[in-house]
Amino acid sequence: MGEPFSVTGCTPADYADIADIQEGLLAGGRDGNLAYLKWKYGANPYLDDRYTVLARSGGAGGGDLIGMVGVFGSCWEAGGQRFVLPCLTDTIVAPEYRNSSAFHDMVDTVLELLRRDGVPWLLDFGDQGTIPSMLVRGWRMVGPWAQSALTRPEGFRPPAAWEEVPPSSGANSGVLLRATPGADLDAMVAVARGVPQDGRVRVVRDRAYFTWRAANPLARYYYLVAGGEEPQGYLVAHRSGVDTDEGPTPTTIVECEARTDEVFADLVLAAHERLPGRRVVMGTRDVCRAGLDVLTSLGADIVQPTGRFTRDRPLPNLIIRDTGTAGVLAELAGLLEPEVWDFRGVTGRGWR
Amino acid sequence: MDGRAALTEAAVRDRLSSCLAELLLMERVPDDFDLISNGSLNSSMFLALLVELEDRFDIQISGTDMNPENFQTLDRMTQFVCAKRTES
Repeated sequence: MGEPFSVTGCTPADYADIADIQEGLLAGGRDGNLAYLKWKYGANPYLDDRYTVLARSGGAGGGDLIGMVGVFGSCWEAGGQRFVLPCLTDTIVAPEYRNSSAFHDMVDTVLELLRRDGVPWLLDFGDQGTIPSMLVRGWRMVGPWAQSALTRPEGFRPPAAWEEVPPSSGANSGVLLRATPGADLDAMVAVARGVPQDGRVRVVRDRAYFTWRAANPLARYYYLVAGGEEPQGYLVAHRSGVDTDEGPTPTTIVECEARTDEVFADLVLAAHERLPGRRVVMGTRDVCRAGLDVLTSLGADIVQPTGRFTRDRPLPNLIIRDTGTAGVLAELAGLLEPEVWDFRGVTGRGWR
Repeated sequence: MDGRAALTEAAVRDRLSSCLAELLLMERVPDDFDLISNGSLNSSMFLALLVELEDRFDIQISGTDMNPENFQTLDRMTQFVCAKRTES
């Protein structure tokens, strides 16, 4: 049934073809897309492109690139241990192969490679459209979870360009809030380290991670830091690097971490007042009461999951696949349970 | 709507069969045709199928319903839809 294809591994020699096929999704142009691929798979501090799989037309040896399932590394911590978990990303299949088994054949190949190397889980925080067909192939759903969305009036412009916003005191905490032109690594690392683990699994936010994420060539990031010499909190928001401030893509608050709920609330408030974009969204699964109160006071729409697939599609989600490898670490044994995950400081796709 | 219209298992099967045939561009879908293993239903088709099932049979499908036991074949899907219709 359908046109023949073959599944292969990925090397940097494939990047030019990938940049072309991904233009519909990445929209960065060939040079921008190539820079993105080198960043995502070449500069990731945890994993290279060894588990990324491609599909090419024709039999063995292959012809034109007709599909890709990317796998990048994310680092998590629990019980005093750190571990890398691979995540699916950048998945695409050429239109003429979408009625074939290409996508699932590529994912099955990734799972085989992970099983061979003793990697127990594969994560996917991605496109909701593929989730039903993945669940019937053995994936399990950890999400979805609630999301806040603040829609600004047409023609909205922030009061000042981000880097020109003057420092101000937070209304709840009195702590000084300041926009920074780039990632303030010292402050962000100190805050992330200062918020104690609570036994759940959370994403590692250290200097290597922040440095890598900030270098995404197809993204624009906006940073807020609370406090001076002793930083009390930080917030990171993201916009597509290939969209304008007035364009259709949302602005996503991908991280907000603070030592107190008052500082957290002040960061959320300041970000919603100052960030560009018609819509500002953030996941609210583990957001504190003070943060939710701010969102409500701003008139944000907080959408809760209904448990119905067809209704919950737009919400953030996580699905996970057991690769079937033996000898899983105890800290990694319970990842199918939603309550195992700690997303207090990560309100968007902060891990990429 | 005044409650859910009564449907026999055969009627559910007929409606499902025509729904799947439309999606798969097939004249007829055999009862034991494997919808999962051979990649017949791609991601967007699967999503369209869920919407159709909810609309045509007045049921609500959750994440825990999404497993091969319920969706592998027309036979299994018929059993699943009939069971969901008796849930509430």
